[in-house]
Amino acid sequence: MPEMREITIVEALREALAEEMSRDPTVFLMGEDIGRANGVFNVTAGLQDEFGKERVIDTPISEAGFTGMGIGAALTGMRPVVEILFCDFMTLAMDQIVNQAAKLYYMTGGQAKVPLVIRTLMGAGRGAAAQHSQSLHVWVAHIPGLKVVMPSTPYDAKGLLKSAIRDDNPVIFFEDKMSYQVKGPVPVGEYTIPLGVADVKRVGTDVTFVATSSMVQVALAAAEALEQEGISAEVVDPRTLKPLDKATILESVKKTGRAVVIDEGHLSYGVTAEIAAIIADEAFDYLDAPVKRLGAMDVPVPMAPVLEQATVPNVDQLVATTRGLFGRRY
Amino acid sequence: MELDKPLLREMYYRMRRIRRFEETAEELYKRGTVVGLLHPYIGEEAVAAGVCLALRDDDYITSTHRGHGHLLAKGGDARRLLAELCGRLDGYCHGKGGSMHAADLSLGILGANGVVGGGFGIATGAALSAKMRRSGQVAVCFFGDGAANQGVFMEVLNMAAIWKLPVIYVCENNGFGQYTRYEEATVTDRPIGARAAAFGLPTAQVDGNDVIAVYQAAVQAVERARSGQGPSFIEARTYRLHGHHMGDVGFARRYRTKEELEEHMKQEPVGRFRRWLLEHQVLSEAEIQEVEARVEAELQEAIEFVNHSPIPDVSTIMEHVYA
Amino acid sequence: MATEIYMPQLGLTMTEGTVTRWLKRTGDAVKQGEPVVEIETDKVTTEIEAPTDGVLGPILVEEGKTAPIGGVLTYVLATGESMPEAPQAGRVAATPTAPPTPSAAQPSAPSEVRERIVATPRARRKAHELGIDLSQVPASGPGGRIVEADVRWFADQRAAQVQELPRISPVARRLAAELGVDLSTVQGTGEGGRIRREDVERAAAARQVAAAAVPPTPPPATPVAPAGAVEALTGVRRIVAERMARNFTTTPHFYLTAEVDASALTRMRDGLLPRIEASTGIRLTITDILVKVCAHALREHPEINVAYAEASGGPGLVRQAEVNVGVAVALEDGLVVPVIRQADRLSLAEITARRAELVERARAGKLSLADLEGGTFTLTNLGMFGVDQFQAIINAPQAAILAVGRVRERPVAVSGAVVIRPTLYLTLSLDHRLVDGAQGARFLERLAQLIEEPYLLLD
Repeated sequence: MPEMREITIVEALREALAEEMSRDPTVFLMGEDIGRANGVFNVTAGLQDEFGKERVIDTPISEAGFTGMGIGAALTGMRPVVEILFCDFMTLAMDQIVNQAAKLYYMTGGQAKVPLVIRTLMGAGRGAAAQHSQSLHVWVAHIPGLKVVMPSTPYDAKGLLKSAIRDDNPVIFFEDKMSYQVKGPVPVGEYTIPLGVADVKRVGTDVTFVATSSMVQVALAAAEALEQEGISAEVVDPRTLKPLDKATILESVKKTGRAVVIDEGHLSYGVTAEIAAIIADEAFDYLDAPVKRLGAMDVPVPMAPVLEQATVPNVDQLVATTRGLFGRRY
Repeated sequence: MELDKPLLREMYYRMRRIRRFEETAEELYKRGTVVGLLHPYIGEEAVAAGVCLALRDDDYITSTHRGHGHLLAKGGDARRLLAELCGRLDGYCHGKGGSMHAADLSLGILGANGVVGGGFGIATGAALSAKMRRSGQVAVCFFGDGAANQGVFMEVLNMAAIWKLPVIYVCENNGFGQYTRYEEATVTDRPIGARAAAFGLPTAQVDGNDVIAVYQAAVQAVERARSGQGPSFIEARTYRLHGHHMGDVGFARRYRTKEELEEHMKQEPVGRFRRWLLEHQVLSEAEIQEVEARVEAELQEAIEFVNHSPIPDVSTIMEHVYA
Repeated sequence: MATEIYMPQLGLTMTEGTVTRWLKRTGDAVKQGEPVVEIETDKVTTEIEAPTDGVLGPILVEEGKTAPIGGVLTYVLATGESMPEAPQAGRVAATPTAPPTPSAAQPSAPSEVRERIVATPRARRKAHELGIDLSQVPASGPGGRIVEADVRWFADQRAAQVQELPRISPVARRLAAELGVDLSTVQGTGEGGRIRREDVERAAAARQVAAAAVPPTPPPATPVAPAGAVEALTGVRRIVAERMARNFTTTPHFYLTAEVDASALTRMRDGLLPRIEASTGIRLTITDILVKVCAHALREHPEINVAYAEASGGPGLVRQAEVNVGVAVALEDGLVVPVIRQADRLSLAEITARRAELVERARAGKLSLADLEGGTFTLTNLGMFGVDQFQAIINAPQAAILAVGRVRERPVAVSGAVVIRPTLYLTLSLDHRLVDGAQGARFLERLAQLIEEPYLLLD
């Protein structure tokens, strides 16, 4: 059993970056204020001091330009980790991400590998308002050729970021801005977590919560509350959105017979719709209730904290939704 | 490189090869063998040939939707390119990319691109990569007058300048952005190069139909890049002799007159260089014809190659989505 | 929003009820408060009313079928509404129920009106796995769906009732082997088509049994049943049958009999009858007086006014605060025991009126649960049928029941001479776990005393 210590997601991510940069000289970082200023959320703190300005590059505010450059570098022997601070600004680089990075390997018939990682933030909760609070991971999950990762714990964050950097495909890595200070056990020493493998965060028997990113904490809290009412909830964290570990999700739902999918993207046309559809299709004969979904309200994120909180799925909503899945007898 | 006979012959060979390839592709398109979209490079051959002759094999280029000329000029294989245009398994991209996404990574050809301006970031990033690896490689970004109006152009000029990246931005101003004339879509008080100059890049403006002029400008820019002095900009003024794409025939789109076209035909670069070679007795008629025969033989070989290349099976659809 | 009509909880011990009659049909307009369906429990028949205005949805539990507490019987749908969260149609009934009224503006296609099993996919799987007919399973899921738990419950019920899940009872199987009956040819009449002994007997009687096919066995212990059809007991009769069996086998009865002189009783009845009839409109009966007598005596003997109950780990009793006397009423299809509450505090006139009211409700099938609950003692009188004396079975969990025969002129010995007096036989059945012989005897003695000297009631 390796030695464990409690660290935050920020620290876990930083360790991942430092370890990979030490291990592989072709790994370098690009982004706004990631170097001298240590990164807006301190994820890259100390890395420029350690690895130099050439490998930790502070860019101008040119998302399309430097994302495109990341692609060019990835095509030609490097492994860039590009930071687009808020995923809201990913929109400025969508041509690069969707038309270039995602498709180059395919369009060139396997000649052009793009081992690029884009790290970006999602999640509401800071009163940052509509243009700094979106969770657009489903946009990129929709595009063939991209991989999409969403860790919820420090352990997952570190292991998955290392794997993302080592992956030869373009990986969009979503970090939740409100969860940066979440602490959790992380082993000392080298480890990675493969992409495309879900994690059962809590074992249960009566209902399956499929939860992503910060919604994992919501699901766990709801499960605790429901336990008092005699409802045992299993929490499945996909960890990687694309490619999705369908098998783990389906196995859980086949056991429990009920599912609630909870994600911080908007409810309509989002992640929950995809996962719910998969469950309804492939676990149909095992369902004892319709598959339910919880997502952010279909509104731009309002600024005032009271309003903002109300737009994001919370524990009470999940508990109430879950209760509705059970009849009088059970 | 000195302008000696082998080089000049090579210039003509490359230009003639591009011209004949495009004409062949057009024929095959009309017959339905070449499928999809085709954007002929006819009339612009001097730019590709002139620039690429200034490059090493391991230097990088990014290309455009009108990319056959760049790929062939950089040393690409006409057989595999034609096969790709025909969507065949033995094409460069196994039929997955077609004309607009043809690439040969082994020759540093980072791909034609279906998005106008799609090469800006990639070329600049390749230059960054070369600098980081200290490989001495340079990157050339081919783009058109239309792409110069994409915002990302400004973004990469800025970054190339502040980081002194070994990249050369070559603007092929062929007079048209699809069906719109250059002077209608772009400020002309200043040349396009003024934009690059605003970021401190050395700029040059050359007659894009004069392969030697293009070559000389390119050599200078490459030298600058390779020696660590940073990026440069070249505007090569040329003229698109054929339509924007294969469906753009005649004058239905009304962006030019027959007279204008005929005027420019008289200046077309391949014939012009042929005449120049003969006039300056660089090559004899026989030597020129030998080059031309070589080109014909290559193209015949390419057609044969296509005929023997199978159409990909649907089982290949899911290959190469992920590495 | 569709509103459920479900089997209500009508009594502490109630676990299920039977739908006896649908008063409305699918598609009928119903008004809030209007009776929609008649249901029967082990104690009472009652009607369920529509909770809101609307249109009646598909019938989910047919007449004659039972449903557990909470089981959805049907819905009241708002105009233009279809079944809530209806999954795809299940089994379609062979004979569709009536089509919806045309003007009801139900957008649902006519096919939705036919009987449909609304069950979750998981429940269907389980039902298929266990060989359960979903049409028999009552639904408790949200939206009135049959969920897996319902199927499991049904399977457990079935197993509890018939001791095992298989489709053939062991007795039937053994008998079939003995008689050489091919089980595949036997029509089962048990729940879910289960083959029971009676089915095998009937099958054997219906055909010639080839001697060669029958292995040599001793003749069957039970004779072959006559070829009449077996009628399963249903509803109240079934419950009564089951309860009687249970009462009798679990309660240790002992019996005390006394013959009492009924002269004073009859004189009292004759004397009070006109007055009571004038004030209540009801004719006073011997039973009414006996109710008063029992109530009075129970007040004096609280050790009889107890009920049996399970205490932790063993037998126990509850001392009843009230004296509530149940009066057995024979109905055409069974026995009910409405209760006259706090009979010790009622006047004779009040008892009479109350008795009459209860009997009338009982005959009309309109007894409420309150009418039947809370009894602490029971009086049963078969005198009107010419019975002299009989022993009644205690109405558990009460401690005692008084069985009374007819008043008849009988020869009795008085001061050494034989005289003719009207007498009455009292037989007290007592639960020996709660009451011993002496206690019972003292109580019976008091009853006899009060009957023979009714003026003691004034005490």
